[in-house]
Amino acid sequence: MTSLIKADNIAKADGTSEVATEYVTRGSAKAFVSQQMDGSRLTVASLNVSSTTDNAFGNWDATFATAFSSSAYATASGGTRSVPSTSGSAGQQAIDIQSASVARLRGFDSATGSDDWDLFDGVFFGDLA
Amino acid sequence: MTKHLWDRLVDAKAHLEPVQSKYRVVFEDPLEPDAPAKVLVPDPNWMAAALAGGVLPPVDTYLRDQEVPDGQPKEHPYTEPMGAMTEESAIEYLIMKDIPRRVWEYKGNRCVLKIVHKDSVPSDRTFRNAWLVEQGVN
Repeated sequence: MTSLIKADNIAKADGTSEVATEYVTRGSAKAFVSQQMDGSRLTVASLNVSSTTDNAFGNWDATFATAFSSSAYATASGGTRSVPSTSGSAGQQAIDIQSASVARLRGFDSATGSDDWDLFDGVFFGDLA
Repeated sequence: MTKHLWDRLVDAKAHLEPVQSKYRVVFEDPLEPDAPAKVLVPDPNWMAAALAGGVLPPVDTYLRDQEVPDGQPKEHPYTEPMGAMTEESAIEYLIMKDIPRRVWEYKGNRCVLKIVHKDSVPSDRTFRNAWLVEQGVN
């Protein structure tokens, strides 16, 4: 059964901290993707992504099903990686926005350079086209 | 009025089981001759929407939108969705949408794009940055 709540504003029960509903709807993530970075390239969770492209070791693109209005959108990343017990190296990630519809996600290992990681997550916020 | 594509995708995600495609698209970009081959992986939620129909707009809307400058209204979000696709036609759609036109319109002697079964892509990534599209094999 589908339910629909129509409201212009959302507030705490005591009436304080009221915000426009639009803050919630427009402020939510417009796309996300979580991908296993092994040979399977299995996407384990996603929204508004049409495909991912494995470009090279530690370098992949997420292409959105519906684009952002421009290249000015916000990103965040996370994930998990196995750290070699002998090196104790640090992992790093970067997301380079390529266009309104493509973001490039890159993983690094502080000792060896590019790194696939084990699981790589990207989240994207902004206004849609 | 047609709902925004993002709203249709959210609805589809809530109601459809993700579909892991059995295909991958391996391609090289003629503008990057020294780069390794790239491997496109269809998104499982997108593939479920493509197979169900009633969610995705015709691919030509995306092609026209590529010419529209940032910040200007785009056609694809509000275009009436198309019907169900087969997995094979969905892959062809994705090639046109997500791979640069210069790749799928390439007319040179080298084969720069192949649709392959997912098991054909090596799982060992040791030499990932040396991968190329295999030539002379159909």
